[in-house]
Amino acid sequence: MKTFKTTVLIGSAILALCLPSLAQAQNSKIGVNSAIKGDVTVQSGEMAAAQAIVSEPIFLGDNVNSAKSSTLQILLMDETTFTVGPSCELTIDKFVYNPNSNSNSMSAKVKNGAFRFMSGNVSRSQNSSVEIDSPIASMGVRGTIVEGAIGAEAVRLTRMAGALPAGVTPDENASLFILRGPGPNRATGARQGAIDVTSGGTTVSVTEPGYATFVGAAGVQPTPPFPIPDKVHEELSDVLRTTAKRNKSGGEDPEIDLPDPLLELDKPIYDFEGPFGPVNPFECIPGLTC
Amino acid sequence: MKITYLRSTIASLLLGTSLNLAFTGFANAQAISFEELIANPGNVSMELQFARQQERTQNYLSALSAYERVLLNYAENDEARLRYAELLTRLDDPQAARREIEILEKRELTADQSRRFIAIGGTPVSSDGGGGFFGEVSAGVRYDNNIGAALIEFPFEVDEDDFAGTLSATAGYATPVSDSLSVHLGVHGNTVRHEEISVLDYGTWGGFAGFGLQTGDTGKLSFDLVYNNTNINNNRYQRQIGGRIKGIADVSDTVQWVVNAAYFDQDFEDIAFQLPFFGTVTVAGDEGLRSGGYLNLATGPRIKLGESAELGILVGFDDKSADATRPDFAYDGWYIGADFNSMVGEKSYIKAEALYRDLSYDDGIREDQRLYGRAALGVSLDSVISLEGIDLFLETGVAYLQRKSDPSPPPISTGFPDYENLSLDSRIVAKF
Repeated sequence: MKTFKTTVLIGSAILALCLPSLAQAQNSKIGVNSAIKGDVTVQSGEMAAAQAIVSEPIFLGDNVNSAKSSTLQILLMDETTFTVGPSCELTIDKFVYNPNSNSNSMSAKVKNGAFRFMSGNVSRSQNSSVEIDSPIASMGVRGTIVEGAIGAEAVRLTRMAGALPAGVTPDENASLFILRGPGPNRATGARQGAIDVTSGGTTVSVTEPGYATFVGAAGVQPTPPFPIPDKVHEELSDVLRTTAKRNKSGGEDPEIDLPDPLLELDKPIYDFEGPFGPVNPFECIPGLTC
Repeated sequence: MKITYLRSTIASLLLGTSLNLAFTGFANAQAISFEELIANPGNVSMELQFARQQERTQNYLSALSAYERVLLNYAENDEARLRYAELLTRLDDPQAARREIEILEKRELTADQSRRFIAIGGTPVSSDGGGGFFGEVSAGVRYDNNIGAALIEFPFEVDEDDFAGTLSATAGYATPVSDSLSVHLGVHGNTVRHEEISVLDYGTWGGFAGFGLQTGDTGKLSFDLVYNNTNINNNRYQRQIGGRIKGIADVSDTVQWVVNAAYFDQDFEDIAFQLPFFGTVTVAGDEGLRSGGYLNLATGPRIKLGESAELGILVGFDDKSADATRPDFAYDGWYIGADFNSMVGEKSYIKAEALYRDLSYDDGIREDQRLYGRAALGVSLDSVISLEGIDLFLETGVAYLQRKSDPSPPPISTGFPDYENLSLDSRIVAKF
């Protein structure tokens, strides 16, 4: 009896401790909107979807939707970066991060559009689990940078790469996963990246930067890794990363024209006084403006 | 003379202290926490500083994402893109690095950036191994409301306001010769021609040649030999031969510390003037006695203010010697100067500079306080004239100069009168 009471007490205590955490979990701030271009909405809990604003928090379970030509970068509390490209739907449904723990985890669902993911501290912990799922495939991420596309965009890009598998009719959930870096020839101590994509009971690992795997439809196995041509990379980068603006003549707009200190040496020192007073009254600053 | 030595000693001590503080400041540059970063999204300076900090602590993916955030909002930030490309290269994502390199190959990079760009396989825009021409030509007019008063007060009236035409040009070439060394050379010239008071016409021309040295990740040194020649009223008057050393240390991603030291040997020659009523007057004998050395020491920060503005502050010390028989030709003194440059939109800029000098002449009698300031607005003329590789601006400025001598000379004398002048200028500036 005593044992039973003790068990009940301990169980109650654990439950009491856990319930608030579980309740909080749905309302936990897991990151912020760190950069926005165009129209991106965030729908949080029971609230209506609202335009994303830089510095506004992102909570667990928020639904992120981007319009055409729009981009949002989310910075999570573990320094993970999630960038969603045009026409993307994203939900981060799990985020467990304790800087002092070795068992952190994160998972997200991308239903449509292009995305880019850069691992943060969660993936550094020993027993970490980072997973990004499309409606038909699951991708495990090992300390890396990964890009992807879901839906029509995935089919289009894979076709451009000449890697559409024969005998498979891609559906609206077709998924493309691309590994970026760090690669095996990295000159840093960063961990080499890899992704494991699972579908139809088969897992395909991609370990070479610039390689990808494609899942055409539900229940279909991922393709063997194939290289991503520059053209495909260029298209994805244009929507997920950055392109310097073009001016009317097709060149790049000039950057801010701040003086280069090393080239300021060309100016003479004016420091003379003629017999009629300082003949160059428009003095400049020796060593600074002259 | 003892006073001169004392001032020089104090200058050296202060310079040393400034250097010490600068490098201590660098060592202790305040770290930015991730919490601070996410509390200030969109703060480019903070993002860049954070990125550098993450690189130093080998948190490369975090650095990479910081550069991406900057580039998402400021795609024209070449420095961020170059660092981004460098990092992609080191992380073995050659395809992604190549894309950034291709973008940078269309951009004009500084000599230092070119050197780093070549190191990751890029070809700078000049496609000549990282070298590039640089230069600026400007031509314009200036109105001074009291320029005649700069002269010694004659026992007769002279027109004190005047119009003048101005012309200046600088052209040079800089190229890296190794990962850490670049060389540069160039020429310059300028002239001012007055409508009435031709005594104040002057022109300078000269050249410079030297090299720049990258010292670690955060420092640069440059050494230059410089030659300047000055004509006044069409007479050769002064010649300078000397050298400069300039050191720049990155204190943080937004602050650089600059240290300058220059020494010139100066030769002065007699000149002849056309004076009202007197015709040609040759000033004989004395002018050569101005010859001697000129030392300039200066130090101060250059601070980037956001993405489009920069402020420089410099505290300096001058010491000019002359023939021992003419201590009134020699002086030393402190100065403090500042300059500010900022883009206004993509097509205009504002710039301002100010200088205050406090000179003490070696005759022990004369003290000068001089104040000069100029503010200008430059507007691009690209929409009117479009020239390949040349940026044209119309720059309009207003300047003020005040000189006070103590003790003030009597009304009619051979001394130096107190003097102030307000000027308006407008010039076409071509930068290439």
